[in-house]
Amino acid sequence: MKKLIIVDDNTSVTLVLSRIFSVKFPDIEVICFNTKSAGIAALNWMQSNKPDYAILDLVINGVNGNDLYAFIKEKSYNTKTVFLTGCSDSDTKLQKFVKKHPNIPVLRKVASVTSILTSLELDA
Amino acid sequence: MHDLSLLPVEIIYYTQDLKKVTLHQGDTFIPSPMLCEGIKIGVCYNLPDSDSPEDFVTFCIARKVLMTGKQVESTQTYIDPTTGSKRLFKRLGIPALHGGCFELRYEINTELLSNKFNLDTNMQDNFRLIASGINHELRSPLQAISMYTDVIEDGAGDTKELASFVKQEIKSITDILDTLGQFNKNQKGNFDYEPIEKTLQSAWDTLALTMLPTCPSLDVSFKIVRGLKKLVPDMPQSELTQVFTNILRNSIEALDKENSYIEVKLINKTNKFFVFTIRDNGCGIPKSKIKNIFTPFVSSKSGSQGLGLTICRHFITQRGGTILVLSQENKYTEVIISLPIRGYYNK
Repeated sequence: MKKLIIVDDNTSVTLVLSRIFSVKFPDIEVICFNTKSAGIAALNWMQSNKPDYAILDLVINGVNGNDLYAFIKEKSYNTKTVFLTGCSDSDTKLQKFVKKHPNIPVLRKVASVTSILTSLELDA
Repeated sequence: MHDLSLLPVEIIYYTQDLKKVTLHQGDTFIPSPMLCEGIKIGVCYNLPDSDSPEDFVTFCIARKVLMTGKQVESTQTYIDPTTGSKRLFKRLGIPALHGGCFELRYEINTELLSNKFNLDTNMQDNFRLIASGINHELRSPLQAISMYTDVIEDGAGDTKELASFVKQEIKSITDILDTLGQFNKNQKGNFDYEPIEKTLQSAWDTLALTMLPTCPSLDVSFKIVRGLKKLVPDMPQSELTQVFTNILRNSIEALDKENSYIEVKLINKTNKFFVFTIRDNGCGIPKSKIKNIFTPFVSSKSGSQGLGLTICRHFITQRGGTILVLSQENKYTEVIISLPIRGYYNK
């Protein structure tokens, strides 16, 4: 079974995404990390698990989406990743990330479900 | 106006036989004629467990009648023999001292102090941070609402249940907006002003009633140590209550020891301003997090909007006061506040 991790410190975002995936893609196991320390919990999980898909919030306290992506790259996991962020276009964190990773899809909240699925190369 | 000069800085002069003399701005003193090679002046930042010798204080010692130069030589740690506490002090050398009466003049480097303790009250920066925080915080519940409506459109769930989720998200947006509304409180008008101790005690009583029953194992002592009973700060009681509620709530949440305490103490006072501290012996704040404690929407606590201390700082600085926070992980957190004095309660 393929695995999807959703990392966002907003519980509702992770719950509704999880619900959408469980209906549309019952063959994908969804693992949500949605506490204030979501990043560190996801990092611990990835020490012994390889996600096939990842929906990551760019800005979280502590270990953030950027750190998680660096870990995915370091482990050479072939994880299809999309970033979901509440940052504005002018936010320097977002600008830096996009400059560093021009090929990684970064969607600004509010993003449509279709755009999230398309970014993960899943059939919307 | 932010009177940082009231923050707890002590100037100490050690006589040749190591007697400690505390000096204040403008004091005159006669150094021992035996100390021909220089006198030693210690500056105690008096900030508990200070660990970096930053140069908050600039000296200018003026020889009476004839101005002489100034020279700050070095910073070193001094263990106060009376209290055992570690303090930093600078050695000031005045070469070729030939006696005479000296007058102490010093200035606090407010820029360095502001930077170290996040006292930045630049309105533009605050506005930028808050605007960026609102943008970030509102987008997540809106994202959830948008996706819930997608699910409703797809007919992929129980509409009634989904509608209740949407309502929850709308509530979380409203909560954020309600909290932000506090920044917009009237600055002028007819306010009630109360003695600080009364407001403090009342904020504590309310919190103790609601929070302490949820942690029965916690044995907390709350003490207002001295000097605050009659002081009426020039800050409306409603704002002061909000400030104390936010700070004391943080303190209660941080308490984790058997003999927990929260202690409020007056530490400095002039005709116009006073400085007091609220100290707890809770879990403290990690060094990596303390620099962001006033940043809006930044919190490591679950369910917190990260606006409590931002609001405190907003209220305090709007009234001409200052707030800074010192902490050591697993030991203590101390909030130091200076406020203008409105008057004294005489009944």
